[in-house]
Amino acid sequence: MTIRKGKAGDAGRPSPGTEADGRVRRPAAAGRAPNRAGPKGAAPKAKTPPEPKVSEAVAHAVKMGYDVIAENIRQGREAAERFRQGEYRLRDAPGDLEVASLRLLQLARELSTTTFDVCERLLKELGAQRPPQDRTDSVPKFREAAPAATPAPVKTASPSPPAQATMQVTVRFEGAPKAIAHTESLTRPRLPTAASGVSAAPLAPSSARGAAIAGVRFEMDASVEGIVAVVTVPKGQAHGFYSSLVHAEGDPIPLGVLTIELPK
Amino acid sequence: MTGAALADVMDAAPPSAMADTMATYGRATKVELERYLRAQPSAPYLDDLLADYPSRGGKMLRPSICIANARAFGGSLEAAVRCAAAIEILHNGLLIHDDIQDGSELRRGRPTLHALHGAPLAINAGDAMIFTALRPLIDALRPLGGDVAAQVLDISMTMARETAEGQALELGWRDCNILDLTEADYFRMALKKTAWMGMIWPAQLGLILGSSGRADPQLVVRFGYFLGVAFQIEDDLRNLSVDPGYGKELNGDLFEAKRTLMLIHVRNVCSDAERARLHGFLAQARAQRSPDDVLWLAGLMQRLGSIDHGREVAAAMAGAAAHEFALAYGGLVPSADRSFIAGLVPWIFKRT
Repeated sequence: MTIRKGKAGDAGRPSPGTEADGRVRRPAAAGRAPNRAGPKGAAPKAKTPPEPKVSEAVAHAVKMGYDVIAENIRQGREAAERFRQGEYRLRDAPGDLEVASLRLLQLARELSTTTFDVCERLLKELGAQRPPQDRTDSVPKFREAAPAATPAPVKTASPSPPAQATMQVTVRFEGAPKAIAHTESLTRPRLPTAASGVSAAPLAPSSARGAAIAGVRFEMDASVEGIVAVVTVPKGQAHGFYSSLVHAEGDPIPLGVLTIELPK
Repeated sequence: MTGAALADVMDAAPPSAMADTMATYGRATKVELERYLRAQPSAPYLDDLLADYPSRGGKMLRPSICIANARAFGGSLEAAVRCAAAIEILHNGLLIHDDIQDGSELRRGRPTLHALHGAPLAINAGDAMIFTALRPLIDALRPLGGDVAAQVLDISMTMARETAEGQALELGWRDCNILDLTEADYFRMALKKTAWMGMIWPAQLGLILGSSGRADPQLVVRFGYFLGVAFQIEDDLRNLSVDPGYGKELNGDLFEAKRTLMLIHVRNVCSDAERARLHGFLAQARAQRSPDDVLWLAGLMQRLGSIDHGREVAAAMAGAAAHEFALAYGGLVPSADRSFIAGLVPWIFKRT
């Protein structure tokens, strides 16, 4: 039940038992009736046991406290799992949220390019750091030092690197409306990399004839997933297939091959 | 369980040792914090604003939690103090924004930054502090390698999200005059708004730093949560009591119609007529709420046991924190820092 500005019975009020604003519901009977006896609720019993007793209200509060943190941790784990597996996509969110997010991304990009550049640089710097030799030999691993026998997962300083994921590529052509892209994805760079840090050598023709296409640049566009390759095709460019290796800045291993076709 | 009983059970540091430790760790953090704030080129309309809130003092609770955890898990003060400086810089940046959002006029006994310089410059200073906090954090993590840094970024992003959600809940409940909140709603808000930034994150940072990423930061979440909820309830209770040392406006939370545990309780246990008056009071704008109505509500809370209930629940949450402390820190070698962390539980009720 949500009452706005103190007026009961608003049309927008959810029906009883539903969750407004994601808030936690208590059964309707509990805690609703006036309770003049104070927080402990029931009248005191004739003979109170000598040992201190936890009041019902307090016990209920502690139980709720544990429920709240358990639910929060569950949600956190779920979210972390989705992000770590790279399954999170904007399209998973409701449409209005997606639009709002895209606008926010665009706004943030326009306003804070410098800030993002700085963060990105810092992340790169950190990623390039090698973990030191194990400095904590003298410190017992937490769970091993604990009296409880339950072993806990201990994170190692350098877990094996995960397999590299791929990113979607959208190719846009300037000067050749009929051109066709034959590359849909590239390997994701190992380190956080801005679109401007991705480059391709001039696209070389598959046959001997025709000059290479030098005009290739990479951009981000919040309205599409992945990265956008913009290929500028000079006038009179010979038809055929053209391709080139794509690299991320500072990484000698190519992300893949960008291939396009200029049909007859 | 009383504060003294808790202290005995957990080998907690006595109040004097708590104060000494916070003073020591606070001083070390402040030196580092000032070094980072002064490292920037001189900027008019900014430098003075950045230096203002940190110069006003404060308990230095968050940095102390971070440093104590780092040391308890095997780290050094030197390594932890940069992280602590990052926490304090970020905290002060968020305080600037909080004061604007809440329309607060005073912070630590002096006019708020936006009251002194206007909201635009204050927001700008808050932004600058939040991003400035990255530098000492990065510097603290650099020697530990990319994996540990990624772990820290992970918990920091979680904290940022949780804190924003908590602030949104509190502001939204008040601005939209949400009335039928439960205690679980309150706990959820306190977890997000208070516990995550104030207790969980500093403890996690210290744990990761001290163990070089070998200990699981989830270990301290429950302890930090219960500590944070107990802290928040106690803070709300102090606002309702005559406490000259508290330093905030008496019953200010009632004027603000802040959704506290006591307000939720009193609404649940009062009569229909009282509830109607309460709803009318809450529906008013802050400026319309009269001192007479505020006193009536404070009296109602007292009469219907809401204050006592708040005290009981705060103590129960502290008890849960003590329980979780034993689970999270029980296996560590006893040390002054471990005792300091244990001492945070009774300290909640004794702090000045």
